[in-house]
Amino acid sequence: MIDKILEYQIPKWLVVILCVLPWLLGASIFIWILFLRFPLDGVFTVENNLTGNNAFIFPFLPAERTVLLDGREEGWKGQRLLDDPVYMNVMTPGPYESAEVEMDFRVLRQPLLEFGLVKDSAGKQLEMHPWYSEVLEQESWKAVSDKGGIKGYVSQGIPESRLTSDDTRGLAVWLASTTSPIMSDAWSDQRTVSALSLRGAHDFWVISADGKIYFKLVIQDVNRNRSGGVVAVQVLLNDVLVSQDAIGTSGSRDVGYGALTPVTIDLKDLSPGVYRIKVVADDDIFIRRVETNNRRWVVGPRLVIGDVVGYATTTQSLQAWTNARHIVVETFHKEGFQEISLGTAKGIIRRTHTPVRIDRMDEVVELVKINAPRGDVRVIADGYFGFDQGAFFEPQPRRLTASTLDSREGIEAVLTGYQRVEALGDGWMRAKYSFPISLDAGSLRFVLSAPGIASRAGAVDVKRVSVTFRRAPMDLQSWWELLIQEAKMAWRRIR
Amino acid sequence: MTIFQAIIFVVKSLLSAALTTLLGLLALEWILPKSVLPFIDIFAWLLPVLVIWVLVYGLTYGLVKSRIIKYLHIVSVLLVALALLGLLTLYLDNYNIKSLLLMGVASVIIGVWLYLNMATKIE
Repeated sequence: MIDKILEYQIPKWLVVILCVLPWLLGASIFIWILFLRFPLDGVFTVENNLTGNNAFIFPFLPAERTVLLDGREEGWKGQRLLDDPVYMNVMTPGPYESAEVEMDFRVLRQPLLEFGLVKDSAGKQLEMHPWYSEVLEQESWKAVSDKGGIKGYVSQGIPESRLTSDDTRGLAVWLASTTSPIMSDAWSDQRTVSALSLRGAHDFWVISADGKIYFKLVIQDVNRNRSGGVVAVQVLLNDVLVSQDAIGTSGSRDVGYGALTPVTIDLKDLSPGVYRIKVVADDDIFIRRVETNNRRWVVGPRLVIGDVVGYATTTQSLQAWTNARHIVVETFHKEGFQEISLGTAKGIIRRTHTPVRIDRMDEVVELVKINAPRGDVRVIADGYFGFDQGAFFEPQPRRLTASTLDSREGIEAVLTGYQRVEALGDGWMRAKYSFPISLDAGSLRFVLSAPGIASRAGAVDVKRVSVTFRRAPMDLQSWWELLIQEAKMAWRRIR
Repeated sequence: MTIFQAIIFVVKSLLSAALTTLLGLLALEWILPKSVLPFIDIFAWLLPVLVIWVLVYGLTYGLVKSRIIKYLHIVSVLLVALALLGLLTLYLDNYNIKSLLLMGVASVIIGVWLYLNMATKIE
């Protein structure tokens, strides 16, 4: 019987068809994979729960600031963030124009989150965006968007025009660009000299005097292991570049510390306004002295008073005037252990690499003094610093911080492009933002900042991150051309 | 063609198609990283397909009329068997005595099969 069945003759065409079918199926799978990888509609979405099992989205790092949760105890899989900041790497699946990040998260004792893209390999240039604000989520704050493109929130009972008011008191800004007030001073032939020891990158804000700016920064490179660093200086008016320069420093291979290098910004025929002098440098560059003929200038919101080892025998203390109400101070050397005062508020640094928050809860609207007698301290503030009371002015409204709206400082409006989050229930929320990206970006590095999270013993739980890459849709011909282009590029890579 | 011959023929075609697709996807992943692995775990499929391919092609060898077909068959089975051996080394934790014995036995089996097939006569 079995022999008879096995000897049964089958038409040859049927065998041929049965043999061809698996090959067709294989070819279809191959083409399907190509369409998944190079979608015709130009939209490629990838999502993950940050447990590390995805080829495109990687969990937040550094690992010591996070906890991976496998869902056994909490009932959900994801990552818990316990310190600030944390970084997430995302591989790009080819040349795309934008990447929209969507994140499902919930917070514990953390009123404010910021999320952004790291724009350079050194991690110095960040494009940060508002991600979550506990206070602005409340109904007592109303979202406002005027025809001129100014966006923000005003408190209950405050007119919408408050956002565009020239009076910066009661106004805060949260990661939004603002137009500086038009201000001008009279030129003075008397040059003021301020001995400082500012470490690394700083922003100076200066009012042009009779259309002129004269700023001389005396810098020093203290890195013993390189022949010379580079300092870039940009001058901007309302975020528009007016002038830029790059200066090589002498380095320090031969005679201990590097020599002092003067960097002069001498600009004329400027329109009245508040100019921002942006010094881009690494932490081995010190600004030892500032000389200027401009009457009003401030530094901030970041200020780092460095050590003076090998430069001077006396300590460089920090004594300045400020409008800041909330500051975070930190030192990296034990020589920086000290009590720091901000007006009547005080804070003590007892450990290195540990941020200390100092919040003013008073109702003083005038400038107050900040005093750090031993220097060697980094200050991140919501306001600005002037080294002479007469030189102080407010170039922009104060920066919104996690503590700003809780206190009694009377903030009535916040300039920000913040989009309210979508509530998902059970405390979970969804925020999203679309970042323009470069076509040749092989990978993207995102940063999530939760200011003050460690000092509050707070946490941010993230259970899902989705990234949607977008580019223009393609027809079959351009799709084929893209494939050929990718194959050529790949061949060049492996050759 | 008898049903037995047809089944062998179709199974061989199916296995070859599966192997070609997997090797094609592997090549695509090599040329364009992250093109395939995020969607299909090729290696999870490659091992069983390779094993079945070697078994089917190795054991269904019959008399052939052409010397070229004979050596083509032997070379292809040999290549896939060696690829399988290479893949097995990836799964071995370390080079302990058990691993070496396993690899040794697999190599001897391939060697014996090769000897027997080289010795078969052409019809």
